[in-house]
Amino acid sequence: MTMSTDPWVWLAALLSLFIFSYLYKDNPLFKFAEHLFTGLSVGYLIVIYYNNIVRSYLLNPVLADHRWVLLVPFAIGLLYLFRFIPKLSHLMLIPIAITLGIWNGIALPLTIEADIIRQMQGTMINTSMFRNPWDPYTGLAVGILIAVGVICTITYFFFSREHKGALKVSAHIGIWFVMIGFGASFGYTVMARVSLLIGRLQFMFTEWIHLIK
Amino acid sequence: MRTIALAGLVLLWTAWAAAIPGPAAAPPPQPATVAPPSDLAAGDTPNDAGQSISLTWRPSPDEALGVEGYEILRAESAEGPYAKVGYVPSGFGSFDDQAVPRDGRDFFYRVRAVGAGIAPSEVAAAGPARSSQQWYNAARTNALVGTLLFTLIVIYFIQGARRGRHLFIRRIAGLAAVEEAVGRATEMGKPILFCPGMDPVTSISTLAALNILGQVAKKAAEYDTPLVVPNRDPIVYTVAEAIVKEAYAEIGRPDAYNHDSVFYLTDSQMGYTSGVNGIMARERPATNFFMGYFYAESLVLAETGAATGAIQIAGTDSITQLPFFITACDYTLMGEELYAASAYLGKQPMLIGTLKAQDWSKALVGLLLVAGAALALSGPGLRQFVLRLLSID
Amino acid sequence: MKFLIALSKIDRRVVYLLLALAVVVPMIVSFNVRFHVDRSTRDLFEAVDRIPPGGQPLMLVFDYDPQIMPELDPMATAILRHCFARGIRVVGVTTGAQGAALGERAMARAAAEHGKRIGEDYCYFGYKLFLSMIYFGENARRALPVDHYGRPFDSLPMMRGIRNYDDIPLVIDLAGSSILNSWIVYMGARYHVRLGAGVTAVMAPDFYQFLQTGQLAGQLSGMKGAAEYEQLVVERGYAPAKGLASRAMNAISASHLLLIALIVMGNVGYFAARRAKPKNPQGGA
Repeated sequence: MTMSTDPWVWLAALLSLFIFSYLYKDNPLFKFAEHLFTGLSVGYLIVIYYNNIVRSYLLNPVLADHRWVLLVPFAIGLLYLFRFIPKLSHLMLIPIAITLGIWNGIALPLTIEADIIRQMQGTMINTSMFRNPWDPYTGLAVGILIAVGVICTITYFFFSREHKGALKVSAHIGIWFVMIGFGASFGYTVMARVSLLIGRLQFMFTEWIHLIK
Repeated sequence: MRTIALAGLVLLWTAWAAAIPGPAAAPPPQPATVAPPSDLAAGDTPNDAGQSISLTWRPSPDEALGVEGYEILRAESAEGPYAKVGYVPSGFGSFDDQAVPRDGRDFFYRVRAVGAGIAPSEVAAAGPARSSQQWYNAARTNALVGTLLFTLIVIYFIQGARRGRHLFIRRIAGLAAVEEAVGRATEMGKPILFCPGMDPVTSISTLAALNILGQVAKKAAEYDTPLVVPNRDPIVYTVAEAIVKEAYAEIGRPDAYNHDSVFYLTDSQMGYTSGVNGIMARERPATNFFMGYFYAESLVLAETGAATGAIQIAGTDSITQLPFFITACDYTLMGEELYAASAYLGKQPMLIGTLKAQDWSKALVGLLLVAGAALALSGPGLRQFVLRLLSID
Repeated sequence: MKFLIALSKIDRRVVYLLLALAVVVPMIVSFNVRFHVDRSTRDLFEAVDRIPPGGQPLMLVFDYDPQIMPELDPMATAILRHCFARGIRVVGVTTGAQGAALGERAMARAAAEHGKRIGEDYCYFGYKLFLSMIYFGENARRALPVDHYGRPFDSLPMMRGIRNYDDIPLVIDLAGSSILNSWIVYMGARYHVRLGAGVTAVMAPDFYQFLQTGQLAGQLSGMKGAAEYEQLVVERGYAPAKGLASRAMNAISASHLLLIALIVMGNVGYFAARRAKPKNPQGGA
């Protein structure tokens, strides 16, 4: 068994061990690694933001290509800084309003299209589903299951009527669908968390201690 | 795939044939002649911002003889000169020329079948065609109607709630537990812990959590039960403090408010989590509330709380974290129940109106699903109608 | 009965230890397993495989950060190996700042393996705002003025002729957050971009509905999805050996078996405790 001679691999491996030490209990080594990560990521983000955003979308086009019009949105963006001057802090609302307005304008019709209309289309049972009834995506069996699930779940989250009679039955079926969904989600999450552990151990056993080839 | 392989074989064969000196000087292989593509039609691309002309044609019937693809040629007059503007692989019969130099000018098109072993064969020119831009995208009318309808429903209900119309909201099961949980803490003489989530104040779930905090604080003030509210976001902290103070004042006991009960912990996710875990282990609150948006820390918090034996009530719209709260807490407000609970407790017209609008939009979607499926199943004509209603181009 | 109740009260550190063993032992004692390839993985693989080599590029979006790297990095590597071995060009970009370095590393590694040249066979634009990626649908050159290394768009030979999403046959978003939903809503609905996805297992159930409606051409779910893609890449002869994710599958299986056993034990213990003490006021929700 050999070990890595790369100091960066050693650093990464030791920091991973510091984090793992939290499993036993909270301790200064864990705190050190956590704070180091927080500080580093802030520093890294500043560099990335400057290089990839400020320089390529503002400085270069203005200074090299003289696209002066870009200074207008830049000035509007600067209004955010008025948040530190209480008397003028209302000026901050201008960029917020512009951002919200633009995003809502883009988002609303597209969300209705992608998340509601297209999904409704997928939920409706139709004659094309009879062609291949057991297909896991487009078959009739799955189609019925999805349609019943969607309608019953919607009734569970309907707050304008008491859950009585038919509504109660439907809401009850709905909550079963929700719980089965949560079960699936739980199982997937377990796999996700174990994968993260495996990923770290793979790094330690392949790059740090050469245990696995 | 097959055509590429075929074309590859043809290429290989020609290379091989050329490389081997034949016994007699073999004549160069004659390029095969193939039937040209036919029925070329050109017209403005509908519902776009202009400078695009759509072409359709019937592919050459001899594609299998070595047609690799089609070259699209454009000219300003029927006679030419034609220049290549695009290429599509064989098997396709349509192309959008999106680089039309100007709207409103006439252009002519030709499509030419090409391949390594064949002589190019062209269809007669189609045209003139003009590109133009449309102000209104007719293909998206359904999205427009949907947007308008939803907006109108929201405005209608908010206005109704503002004018004081009574809008019924059913009681939510988890809410009954809130009072019970506060009562239990009072009996045991132990504090109540309230975590308002991990998101900033701009998130809807945080606002809902703060609304519920106001109601819990009122109950706590009434029964004189200590309240502990650790915060992760500095602005949420300020708002939470104001809300709790106001709740004590509303009950008529402003002096009972403890200045240490609402505090800022840390911005770090896991730092906050271990801080709250510490509070649960040391002070052993009888009741824990986890309301708002949570991330990976949800299970760590709820599990520690369960280990201390506290009654736990969670509420979040973070779907991925809900399973953990459901398994580790006594009551969980799921998704929209969190907003509904906050509207139910807070009684603000804006919240109640929005909740009602959401309710009726949901009912409308459910109704459309049933009606649409019924229509789609009842006959091919109606099926086409439903598909058109929901189709987006 | 006491034994059954004790089952549900195993110290958590014992659980950690058992889990560590379940993960480590199968990693060291490795044996090759074949596993079922999900249809969503196969669909994505076929969508990539249908892109003509040497022509319009695939866009790979590295929307993940170091915390979830073990799940998504193997996906990126497998897709890149597939593309490069087949001669498909790749444009890399990320809309999350933390993904910039990860994308760069994954692309440089795969390119070096296959002797691919930057600018001709692949490009890397690094971190760009999501808004810029929306604008890519209108004007690619304006949306991505320079690449990650400061080279102008026009100086990259393979980007010539790329006007907008119409010239990108497939976009694959490797995401660990709801940003994938934004790609479906903005790029999918607005520009009819053909989208594929690679997501963490936590998020996988949230996106199956988009496969059913065809809004996603295919999806890789968690480490298993990455392993499935690796298997397909090897099966079709694009790579000689499987990657990290496939090697982790034994550990995943072993840890799942352990967890199933623990869940069963915990429930048996819970019900045993309830029977032993029938007046328990606390019930689960």
